[in-house]
Amino acid sequence: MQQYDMIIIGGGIMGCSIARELSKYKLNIAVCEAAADVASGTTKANGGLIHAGDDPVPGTLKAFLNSKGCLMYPVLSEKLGFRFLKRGSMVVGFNEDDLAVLKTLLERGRLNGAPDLELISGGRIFELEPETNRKAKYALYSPHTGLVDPFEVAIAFSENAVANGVHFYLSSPVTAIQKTEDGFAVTLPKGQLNGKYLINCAGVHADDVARLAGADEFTIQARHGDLLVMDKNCGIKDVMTLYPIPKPDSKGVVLMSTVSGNILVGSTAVMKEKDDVASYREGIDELIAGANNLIEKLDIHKVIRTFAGNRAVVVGNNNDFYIRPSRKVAGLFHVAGIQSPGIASAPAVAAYVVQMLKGCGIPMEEKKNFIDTRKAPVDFSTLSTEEQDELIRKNPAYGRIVCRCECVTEGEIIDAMHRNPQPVTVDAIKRRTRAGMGRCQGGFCQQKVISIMAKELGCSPTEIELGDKGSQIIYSKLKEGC
Amino acid sequence: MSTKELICTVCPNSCNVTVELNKKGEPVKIAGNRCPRGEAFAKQEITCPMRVITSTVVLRGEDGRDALLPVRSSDAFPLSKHAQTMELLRHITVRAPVKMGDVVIHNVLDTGVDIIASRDS
Amino acid sequence: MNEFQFDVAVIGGGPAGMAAAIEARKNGASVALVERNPHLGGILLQCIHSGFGLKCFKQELTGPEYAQRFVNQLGETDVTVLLSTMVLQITKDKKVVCMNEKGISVLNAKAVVLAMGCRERTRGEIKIPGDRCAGVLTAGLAQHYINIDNYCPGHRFVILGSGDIGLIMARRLSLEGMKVEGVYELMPYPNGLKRNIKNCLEDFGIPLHLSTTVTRVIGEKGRVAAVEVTKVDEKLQPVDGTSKIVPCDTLLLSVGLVPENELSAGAGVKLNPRTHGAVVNDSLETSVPGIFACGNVLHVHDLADNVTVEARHAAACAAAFAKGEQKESNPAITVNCEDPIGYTVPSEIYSREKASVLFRVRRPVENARMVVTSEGSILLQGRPRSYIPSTMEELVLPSAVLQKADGEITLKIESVLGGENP
Repeated sequence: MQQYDMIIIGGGIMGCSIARELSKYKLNIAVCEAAADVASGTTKANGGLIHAGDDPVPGTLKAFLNSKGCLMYPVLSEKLGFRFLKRGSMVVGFNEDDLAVLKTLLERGRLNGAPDLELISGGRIFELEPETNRKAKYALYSPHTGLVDPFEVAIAFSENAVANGVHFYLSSPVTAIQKTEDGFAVTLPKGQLNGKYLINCAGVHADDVARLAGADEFTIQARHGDLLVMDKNCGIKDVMTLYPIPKPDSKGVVLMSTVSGNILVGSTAVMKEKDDVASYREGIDELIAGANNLIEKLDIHKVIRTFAGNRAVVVGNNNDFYIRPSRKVAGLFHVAGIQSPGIASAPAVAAYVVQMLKGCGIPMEEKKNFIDTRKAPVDFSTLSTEEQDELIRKNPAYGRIVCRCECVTEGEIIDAMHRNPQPVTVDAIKRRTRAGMGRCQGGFCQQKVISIMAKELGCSPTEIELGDKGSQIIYSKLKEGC
Repeated sequence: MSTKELICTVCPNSCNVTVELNKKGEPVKIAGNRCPRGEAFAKQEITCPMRVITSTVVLRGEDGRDALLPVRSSDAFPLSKHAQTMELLRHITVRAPVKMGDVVIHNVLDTGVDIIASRDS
Repeated sequence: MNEFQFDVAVIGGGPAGMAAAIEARKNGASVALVERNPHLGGILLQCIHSGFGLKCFKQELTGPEYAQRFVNQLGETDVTVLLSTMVLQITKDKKVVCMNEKGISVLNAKAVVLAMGCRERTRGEIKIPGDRCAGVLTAGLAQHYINIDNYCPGHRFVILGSGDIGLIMARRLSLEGMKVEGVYELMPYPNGLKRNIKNCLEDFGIPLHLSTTVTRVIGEKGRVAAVEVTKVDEKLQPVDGTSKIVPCDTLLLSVGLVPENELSAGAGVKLNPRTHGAVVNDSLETSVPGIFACGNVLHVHDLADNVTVEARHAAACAAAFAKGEQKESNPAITVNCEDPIGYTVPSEIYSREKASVLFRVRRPVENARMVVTSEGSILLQGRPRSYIPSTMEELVLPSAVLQKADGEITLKIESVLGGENP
């Protein structure tokens, strides 16, 4: 039986950033993730906005962690080799009522310490973002709003955590938790882990995990959101992030350019069942209407993907994060109710959790040999022609195109397969390399990706799954001959 | 007397052909076809529909690795025999090299047509 | 980085590219043909069914046979064929930047023929709601799995879209012993060729449900378990209360093809929003002088034979351009069209000898005739007939019409029953 000091349950951006932060200390750490890959839950169904801290209600934990977390991203991006862009944002208003809301938001932002917020009107709006709906009259401009790719960040955290000795258990849903003399015994499908402390980062299932550990102390409901992604050639490019006037429990339908250059529209906010991540027609219609409120016209024929995800809402917690030691079970810590701005807050949450653990008297001794950088994988499509040529001459696998829409080479896929945690599904490869993320959505490259993966994993192509457990792509060989 | 509406599949013109049948079900009048081939097609279609079959067989490469070789029937043959032909094709392995037109099964199911390779391999 | 000089660079080694390379060489040009896959033939290699070649070879061939004939012809020429080579960029001055296992190279061409083909529309584009499980794939990908990879991608299929690939896959799956529950088509008419409706569906007793679409994907344990299908009204909107759950493990999408013009756009080629292909003149030359386009990258064709014919024309014009031969100096005639004609290729005519105009109608029209006008006066009237969207139509404009055209011509299809014409 494996012995750990810390067992983190949940490999989303919270679990991964906390694992990385804790790996700075002399601790044995395990992360258990139910899905086949990290960042597979709420983390992946997210636009990746790094809010400057202008939205949360002042005085909340959210407000505190958001304004700290967003400031940590530029340095982390350098160290861990993920993309971070500062593109700014505007909350767009159309009338005097909206203006009143914008004034409230400005006040809130200032209280939260969000820098350089500015209430603007008229022509300035269109100077800053020419695509903005011409009916816009007022806007709250935040120059420091940033962008990341949320799974790229979570993967970077996880890889750096592994480099510092953290063990990841993927496809490992926790089925039972037992209190033992010196901690907990956590049952996974493939065996049991012993840990002195548990950190519950289980997203929409954090209440279920808490109950497994005997801590029936909060309930989570899922706030479902639809999102859609546009073709890179959809007529508009590099837009500043545009928000509508926010609704009581969500920022409304936002339109933004992702770090990879797609326009993304999201999310809706409707309470649904926890595991319902299906997309809904009403949701998609709302997104299109929402986008057409923010810009002049979205070319709906250029949508390449719709998807959905759930944010965890702790009931009766005023939409705030729920990060605290369990009220009922010693040694159990909850990082729950993580909804927007979860990505922006993630690095600050990790630091906060470390403080919380220290505050509870858990001995934490810093390592001397902590590796605080991670080398980013090669992104062939962004290299200069000379660099591409040089790379191919060193390794011909970079001269073999797999995904033509996103210009992803076999070399990049093989490199991804040799990283740890190792991606073992087609979606996991997609999230790391962008193979299949373009306009043909894998129509041309899925079979190539599958055969490269099967070769690297030494398995049959029929064993390669799309993403979730059971998501078999190929059932069998078609004919055997004689 | 009855009539039957057919789509001629001889060429992409896809003529709508009307066939009048007598009590025995034999065609007596054929109309709507734009060429004589359409008439022949309609007669055949009423009595015994014929189709070209296309499928694949396992191809053992010179490197020992298996792939698929596309094959076809050299001509149309009764549709009623296609299912049985498919079953035969499922259990055949052809060895490379193969040239387009090489016979894979001679006189399949005594129909007088061959199953042939559709390309070089 | 290596650099090479060619008169004509052909991008894409499918039916269009192979025919273009052969034709350009015949016309005296030095030619490079660039293909990203390890084999020539493009999508023809997975189209193992017959129905090719009636126009170009006067006999019915399978896709691989049709391809093999061009591969053999190419083998007899000294065209430089670059396989497993991906074009990264084409510039306005006709530098073609390519990559393969050996590195990056640049082809400096005097003329370029775009022949990159098309891709399939996806679930994302048509925004089918529901679960994002395995088992939803385009018909073309399924065709690759079944005909090339020897994989069985499903047992029980629903096919959305009655385009030709969908119909052909319905037959292919049935022949291989898989169950096809039905083909569902949003429009009130089928989108594929009539012969395919007959040979691919009727022969196998597969039902075709018109004015019906898939409104939800229902997954279970990571894989499709069923789809919800719903009837649509005249505005193509789902009708409440008409939904039905169809159990299946795979949803195949055959919901249209889109020309792949990302490289063309990068070269500054102007695109036609209706075809998603380049705007071309009667030499099939794009808005960038010396860059020509043909085949499915220009507009989606119904038959490979028509692709071949078009490619030969583009290549002959490209070779002439490379040799520096003068273009016709006549003023351009703009080609316009009116509904129900969806588009025309070309959009501009320079010749006064003869010009071929290809077009498609947007919906089926019965008993209607082609009318060609110029500035209001009628230049040409066709005989009454029917037109359907699945067939690409050709109108050959004779010299007499072109001479009379006054800067523009407009193609219309007018109902004869309407009686509005004298």
